[in-house]
Amino acid sequence: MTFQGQIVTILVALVVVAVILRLLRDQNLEIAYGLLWIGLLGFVVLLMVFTPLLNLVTRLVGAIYPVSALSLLAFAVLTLILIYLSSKVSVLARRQKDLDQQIALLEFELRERETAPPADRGG
Amino acid sequence: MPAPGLILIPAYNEAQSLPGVLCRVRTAAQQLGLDVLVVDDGSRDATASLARAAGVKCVSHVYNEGYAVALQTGMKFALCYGYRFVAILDADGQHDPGEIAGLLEVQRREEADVVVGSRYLTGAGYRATAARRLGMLLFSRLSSWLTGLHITDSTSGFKVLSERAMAMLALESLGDFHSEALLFFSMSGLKIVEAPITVAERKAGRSMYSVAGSLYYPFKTLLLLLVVGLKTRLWRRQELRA
Repeated sequence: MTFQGQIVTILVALVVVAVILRLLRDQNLEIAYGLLWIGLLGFVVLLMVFTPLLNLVTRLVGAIYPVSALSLLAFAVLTLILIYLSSKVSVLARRQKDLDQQIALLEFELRERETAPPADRGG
Repeated sequence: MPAPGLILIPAYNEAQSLPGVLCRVRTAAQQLGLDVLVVDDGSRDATASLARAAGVKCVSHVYNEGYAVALQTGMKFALCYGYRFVAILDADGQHDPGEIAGLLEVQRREEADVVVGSRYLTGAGYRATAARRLGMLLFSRLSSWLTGLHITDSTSGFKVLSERAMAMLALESLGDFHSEALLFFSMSGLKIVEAPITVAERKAGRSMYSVAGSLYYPFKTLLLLLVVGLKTRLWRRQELRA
């Protein structure tokens, strides 16, 4: 990669890191996800800046051109991250469903107590 | 003394049809000595208030969670309050509450855990679109093949469940509670039988299956069948190890 390309990569990475830090500061992103994205960015910058490392990765994945190796890696990593996030969303949806059901049952109990004659309320 | 069983009606935006349905359901419930529960699945209309005004029990989800979750909430309710069986009816008025007695009689006679009300057992006409009929037929055949039972109507929403089936459903919410639920119950050793029912045309409200939903349904159900099969086998292995 040319020197100009490396500078652009680093600048883009810095902007993305700034966005991530802002999200972390405002508590709109979990620390774990922040670490994941910053780590991923760091790896991409390393590949772009140190050409021998990119060449090594290209040979390891069996690609002819570095850009093919990068595309393959990006696809694999992003797919894994999306599956991981889908799983997280599913877990959260299940927890939300459980809470919704508990609220429904508790609300019913509360209504029953409120409408019960005073002698039956107890406490 | 609490009623032995519960008539469970999952409802989502059924304010138009619910009062009429509840009027008929209450008559049947009084004759059979059963309680009635409406599970309002986060409706945006007056479904919950109409149910409460009709004097039946009603629990409300905060959000629209879907049919299977509404059923699961009903199962949790039934177990929590000690009901021994549950009869499930749709809120759209298509099912005749007067037929609950027949399903309960079949359950008692056959000692079944699950009684499925079948629209096709007697050959009496239930009119659906050709595509829907084909889907129902295919999934009924698939359910029969997978469970080893003769199932004519795997997509029926009119069912009676024993306490054992209720407990299983309280743990697992299964798709639309169709073929996948029958496979789950069958693989878990529960007895499933069918009993004939009649089904009327929907008079108001909207079906839970949109065009997109109908296209999505077969793929979702096939994947669910696979997942249920894998899950039940895993449980069996864990039980054997224990």
